[in-house]
Amino acid sequence: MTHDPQWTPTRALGRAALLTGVLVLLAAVLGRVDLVALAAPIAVGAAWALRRRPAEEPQVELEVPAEPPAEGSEVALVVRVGAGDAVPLDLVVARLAAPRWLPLEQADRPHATDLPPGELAQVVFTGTALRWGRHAAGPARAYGVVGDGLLISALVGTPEGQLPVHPVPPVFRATDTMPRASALVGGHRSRRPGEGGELAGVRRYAPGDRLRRVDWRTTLRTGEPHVAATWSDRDATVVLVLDVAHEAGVSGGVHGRASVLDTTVRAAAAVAEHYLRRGDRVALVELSGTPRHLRAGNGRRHLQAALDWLASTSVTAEADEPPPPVLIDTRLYPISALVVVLTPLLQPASTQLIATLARTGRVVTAVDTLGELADHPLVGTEWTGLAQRLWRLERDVVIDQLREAGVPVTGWSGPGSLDHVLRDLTRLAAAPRIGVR
Amino acid sequence: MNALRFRRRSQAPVGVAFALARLAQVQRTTAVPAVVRLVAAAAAAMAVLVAMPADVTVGERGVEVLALALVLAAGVGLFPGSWWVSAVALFVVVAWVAATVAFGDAADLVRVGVLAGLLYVMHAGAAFAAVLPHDCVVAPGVLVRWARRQAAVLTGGLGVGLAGLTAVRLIGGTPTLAGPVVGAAVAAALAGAFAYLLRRP
Repeated sequence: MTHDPQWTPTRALGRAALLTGVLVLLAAVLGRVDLVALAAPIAVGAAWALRRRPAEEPQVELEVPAEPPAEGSEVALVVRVGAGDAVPLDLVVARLAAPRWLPLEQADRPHATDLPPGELAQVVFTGTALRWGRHAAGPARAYGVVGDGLLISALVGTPEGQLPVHPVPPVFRATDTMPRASALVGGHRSRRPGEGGELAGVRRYAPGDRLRRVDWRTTLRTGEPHVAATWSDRDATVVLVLDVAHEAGVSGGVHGRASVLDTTVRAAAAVAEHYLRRGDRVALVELSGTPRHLRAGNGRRHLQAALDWLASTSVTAEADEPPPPVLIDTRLYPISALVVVLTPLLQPASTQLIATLARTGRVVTAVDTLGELADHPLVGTEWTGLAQRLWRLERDVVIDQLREAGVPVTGWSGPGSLDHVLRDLTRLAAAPRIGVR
Repeated sequence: MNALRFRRRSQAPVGVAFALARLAQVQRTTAVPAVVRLVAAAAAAMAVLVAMPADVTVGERGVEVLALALVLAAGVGLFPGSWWVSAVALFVVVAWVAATVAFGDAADLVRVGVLAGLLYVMHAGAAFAAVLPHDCVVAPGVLVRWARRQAAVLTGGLGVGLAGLTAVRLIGGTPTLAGPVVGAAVAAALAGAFAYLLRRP
């Protein structure tokens, strides 16, 4: 017979043994049977409680939603507790560690129930996901009690779960023409003549033209065969670069203020969703202490992959860490791609990257994600205001320099944020240019 | 002890911070754990009052005895998983022995039955409260089922104890050396039974 260490006696069991022993001993010494009567309920209760003893600890499971929820939506985490074997548990106490951005109802309290053998008890914790991200859900922990408090199990727990919460993209649309398109399919009117739906004009028939392109009205009027010329339809590659090397501002969640990271991720989600729904290909690049990227792709599945990828975005660079090296990889930044850099323009490395991309002939636009935070008055010494003013002037200079390099810089303002810059870029892209690859 | 398993190990607050932390804990207390602790505390207070000599309890020092009972009971309610409960139980036993030996109180069947019941309720209530965190959300029916089990055990235990007591008194007889020897043997057998129940797989 071996002692099972998973179930340990409580102080109450020691008390029962002590009281029973003392009372019986006193009864024997003093010849007082009434003392045995005093001990009888405690002794009988302990013996009855210990008649059956579970061999296994309770089991606990944590279920997180299979589909990643979007921030602001309701989330339900389920903790299931079961008795390990055929012995009923008088009490099972379970607790779930809730992440900061997932305030689950009653998750700050332990939950207790009794458990008949072979049955599962479940506690459903519901709450609202307040912010995008990859949140740590759990661990869920539980302990069981048998013998009405005389034996207690070891604390059993689940591993920490991961709950990705997708950012909610603000409404975004860009109605202007894509400055540059690549493949021969897609929804954008390209600047090249070819098969497509957008009428470019009517011209004389040339060998190779399809008969269905013949414009019979013009042909009859002029007496010579004419065909309707169209612009080819093409898709585009959009590369979204997320400059998240530094965070600024404090996130208030989906209903509160947005930090730079929030603005960056939500704007990227909005732009990616917009272009992916139009059939374009979207790639994502993160500039941070640990750079990563998501290859270009299209379709609904790629949108889910992009949102998953965005949910993992985090600020990983320290303030005094050297900036990541600026490497222009043509696989990450195709020549024909529209590069949208979402940046707070807080570090020279990202400015350098934008300028280098523009110099190599790529169509680049920068979206300022710092927004109102740049004008947020800082509390400090008498010199703080002056320092902030100097910093702001320097930032304005950087923005002007980027504009001079052909990179429009615009603030993020939701729908139509990129329209006017895309219009300018389209005009620029049509002009002859000299690029360095 | 066990009820505090989920508590995070952090730097213990001191002074005002300690008081505020305790107050916050009290405010988080839920109904079922509060009821269980209240039952244990009430049983402790009543056990002290029943065990104390009647002359003292209803005499001039009655208020002091009442205050003592309330203090001891408060400790049981607030710290059900501590040694305090065992100390109170031993105090009750000592008070009972003193009342019956030194003050000449009669160990009549009703009083013994009431005291045994109160001791058991205090013990069982404290045992349950010790494993039930004070801010716990308890599923419906748990308290009722626990109370039903305790009532059954109490009925059985009291039945055995009082029946034995009645039988011994009916049989009567003069005290002999066999009494203490048999009693010690019963105590040892009980300890062995506990050990067996605890260690068996």
